Amino acid sequence: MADESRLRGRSSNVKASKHVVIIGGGPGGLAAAETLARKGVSVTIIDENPDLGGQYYRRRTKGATELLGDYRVDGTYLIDSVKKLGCTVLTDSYVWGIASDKRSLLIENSLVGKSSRVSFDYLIIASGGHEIQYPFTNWQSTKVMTPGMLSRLVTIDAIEPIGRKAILVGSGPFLLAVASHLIDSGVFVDGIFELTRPYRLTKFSILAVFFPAKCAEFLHYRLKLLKNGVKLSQGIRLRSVQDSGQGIIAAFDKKSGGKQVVVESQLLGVGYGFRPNSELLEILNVERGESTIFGHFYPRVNRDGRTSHQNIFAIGEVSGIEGFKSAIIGGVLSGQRILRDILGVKGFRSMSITLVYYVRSVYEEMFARFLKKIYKFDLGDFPDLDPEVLLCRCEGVHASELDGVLSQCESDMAYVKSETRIGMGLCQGRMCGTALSIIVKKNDPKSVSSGFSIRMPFRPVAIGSVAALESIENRDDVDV
Amino acid sequence: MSNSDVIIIGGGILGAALAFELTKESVGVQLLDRSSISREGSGATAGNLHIQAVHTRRPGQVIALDNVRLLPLQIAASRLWDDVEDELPEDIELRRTGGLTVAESESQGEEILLKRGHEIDAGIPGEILGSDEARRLLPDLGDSVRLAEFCPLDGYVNPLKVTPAWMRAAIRQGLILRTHDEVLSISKVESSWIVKTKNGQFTCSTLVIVAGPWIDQILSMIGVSIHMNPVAIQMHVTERIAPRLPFLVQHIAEGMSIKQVSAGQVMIGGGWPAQNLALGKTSDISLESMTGNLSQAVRILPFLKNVRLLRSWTGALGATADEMPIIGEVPGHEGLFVAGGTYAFTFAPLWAKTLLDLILKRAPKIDVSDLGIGRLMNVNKSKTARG
Amino acid sequence: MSFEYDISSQEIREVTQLVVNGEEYDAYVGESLLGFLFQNRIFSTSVNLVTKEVRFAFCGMGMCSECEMIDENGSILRICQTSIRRNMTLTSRGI
Repeated sequence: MADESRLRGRSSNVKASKHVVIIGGGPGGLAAAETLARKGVSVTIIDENPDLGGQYYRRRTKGATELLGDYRVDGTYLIDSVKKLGCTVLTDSYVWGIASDKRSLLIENSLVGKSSRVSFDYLIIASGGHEIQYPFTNWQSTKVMTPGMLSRLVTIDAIEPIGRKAILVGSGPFLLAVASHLIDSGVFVDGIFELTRPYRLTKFSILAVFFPAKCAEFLHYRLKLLKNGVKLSQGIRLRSVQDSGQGIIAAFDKKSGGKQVVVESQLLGVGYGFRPNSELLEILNVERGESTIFGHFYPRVNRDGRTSHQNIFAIGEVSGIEGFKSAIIGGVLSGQRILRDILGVKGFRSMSITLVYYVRSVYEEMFARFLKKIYKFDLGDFPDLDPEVLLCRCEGVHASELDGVLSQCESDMAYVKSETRIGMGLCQGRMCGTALSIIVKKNDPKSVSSGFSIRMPFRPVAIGSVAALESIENRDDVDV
Repeated sequence: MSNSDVIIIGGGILGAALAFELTKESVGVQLLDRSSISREGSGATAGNLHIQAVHTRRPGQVIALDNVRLLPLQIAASRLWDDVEDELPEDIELRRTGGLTVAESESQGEEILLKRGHEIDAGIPGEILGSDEARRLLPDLGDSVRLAEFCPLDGYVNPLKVTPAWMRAAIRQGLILRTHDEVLSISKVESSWIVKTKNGQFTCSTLVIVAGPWIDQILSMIGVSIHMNPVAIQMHVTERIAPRLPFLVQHIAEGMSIKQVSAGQVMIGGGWPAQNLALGKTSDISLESMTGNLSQAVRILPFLKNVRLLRSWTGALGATADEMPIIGEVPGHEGLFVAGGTYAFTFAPLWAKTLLDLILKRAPKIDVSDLGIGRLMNVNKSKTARG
Repeated sequence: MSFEYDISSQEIREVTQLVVNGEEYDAYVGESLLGFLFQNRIFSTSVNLVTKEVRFAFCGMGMCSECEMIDENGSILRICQTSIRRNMTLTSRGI
């Protein structure tokens, strides 16, 4: 078009007409927003929570701030920066679908109970992940929660957990970080129970020396645990939890057999690493990245975070690399990439920033791969479920109901779902999907793991909100 | 080589019901499906049992179906559904609590009166309800409803349970079920059919094709050329809520069906089209159909405004160019039978018993000669009506 | 009340009445609802629709739906993502 070619030389007008929407206000989304907004690009950032920050930079409540001071101040700075730079901030808002043209998101504002469309030219998906679960007897007890929730309660909400005792179960380096937070808040950690066996000196684990900063961090955690008498067990499986008067009694066993290990505490935090909040990416049909034994959907992304769709980016946890540093790096790189797309290749300074971040990105990715091998899962690590285990929390389906279905299921999660209702409840398989994937794969090792099929709405949304969309014209909600 | 009396191609509700009837009479049956059972239309459908006259067009449907022709078939199916639950040991969540069809305008009201007349001729019970009476029956009805018909025979059955239940009962009676076994070619040698799949070769004297949207693909292997017009349609389901909706609610003029199932979820459908048709894969959800279907629902049953939509899905409906069912022996091919088309779910026990009679060379209890596949064999591709 | 601290050096924050399943509490506007329930040992947010078990928040990040409660407007809230508002009334979802 004639107008556009005239405008191409005047970069400020070109950038003014492009709109970037960022899903997720955590470190990744914030870094991307800041990178873009600093150069005048129109940005909307969407988050489900009442404020930006995601999990890692979740803001302390006012009361907690007054009591303990601010927390992770670089997060506070980043959030303020994003707001001051004029980004449109949509909090208390969750994305539940996408319009047929695949250029507008459907979001629901949970405070007012209304849905609207938000159009984008570029989309950065920084929606993070949530903790992988593997059920055990009585995991629906009210004293059982995720390590992330325990951590948030003591660091952000500044809560005194009951009796100040907790145990951490599952897998992953996150358990060490959470233990550290709990100890710092005066909570006694009755033990960390790691399913795999990562804390061994092997020829491979020695490669950790290539990551000196990470080593130091690990040693810092390890020493803290030792100093505080926190036992770190590995190769151990949680089988059941019993509510006792004071709290809980957790029973563990080992794959190799031997005596049961019984631990008393007040609260239990359980999580086996993270699975990506990638529903939107799946619906968009971006090319899949590496598959894991769990069948989680990860998008294939390049170093800038771009997926197979030219205008869709995925950064941070959702793209498969854990940790806030990676998320921030991904935010900067995706922001820089979009700036280059919109403004054209520009300047030594911008390219050198990108180069530095590329190097950091490679480093973080190598470390993430290293960790994956250290905390490597074997299907056999997961115990067969006892019949009374509540496999699907939402629909109340016990493991015993799989009898007979598995033999007919032909490795088909959809078939198991249709016969048992597993995955049909409010969480749509987020809590039980990984476990069912493991069970199906153990039942038929030849099967290709996949999760439950993903459909709109990604989260439940009031019918009235959806119906009301019919009268809203399809227009660009944000014009510059 | 494996030999049986009958081979059924297609593991949906029709295949399962027919397998049950045949094995009950000690006929040797093998059933083949290229995937798991109930994977396509039968697993995605609303599960409604339509006994009162149905609305004639889905949203976007070009050719109206002949709903009057279906009435004697519906009352016949209705009687058979009464027995199905007794015959199957598993709970299939069969509910025959009735159904409402509503009208919002005077002309729609007249359509209801007209259809009631046809239903009376066919012996289908029903009652016309004015605005006040309708609201006494169902206080949740929206203000725009002026007239309604209540038919006590409408109902539904859980589609996730009924096909597996029929299939398992058939297996107990001797059915050999082969899933994940795609048919690659079919040939005829003298009076035997030879069916080749990726896992083997099977022969039979009678071949039944109940493969839904793939009926034409299978028939082409035998050199029979017809054209199916499958359509992907969409369903929506809510979270569980307290029991509130005692029967099916439909609309005279628009595709709309709303019901609350045993689990407490409300299912909202009516034949709204999906975004695309990806046969054998997953068709995409259409936002326009979602908002359209749900706006209707909210207008007719306003309490739904605050109920949360939990999930949507699509399924392929094996429709034909004239939107009518298909049933019968394929002209010119002895021992080859098909069944399918629209409303196959409601007609499942009827088609099963009719095919049983036809296969065993008995007179079927109902005349279905006009619904044979011959009518589709004379229509060439350029004439099929698809928008 | 959950927090005890030196009020003399702080600005007075707004206290409001919070009703949870019929019980009345004093709470600060803007504080975390999840934290509040935890601190006050109210270990119940929802009743499972199928098993009728009492459940409490599990994931803490809006994914498990077990922290859903219904407010005074009939809206369903995920407590782990909600701040205390003025004159809030909450009832467990599924009761």
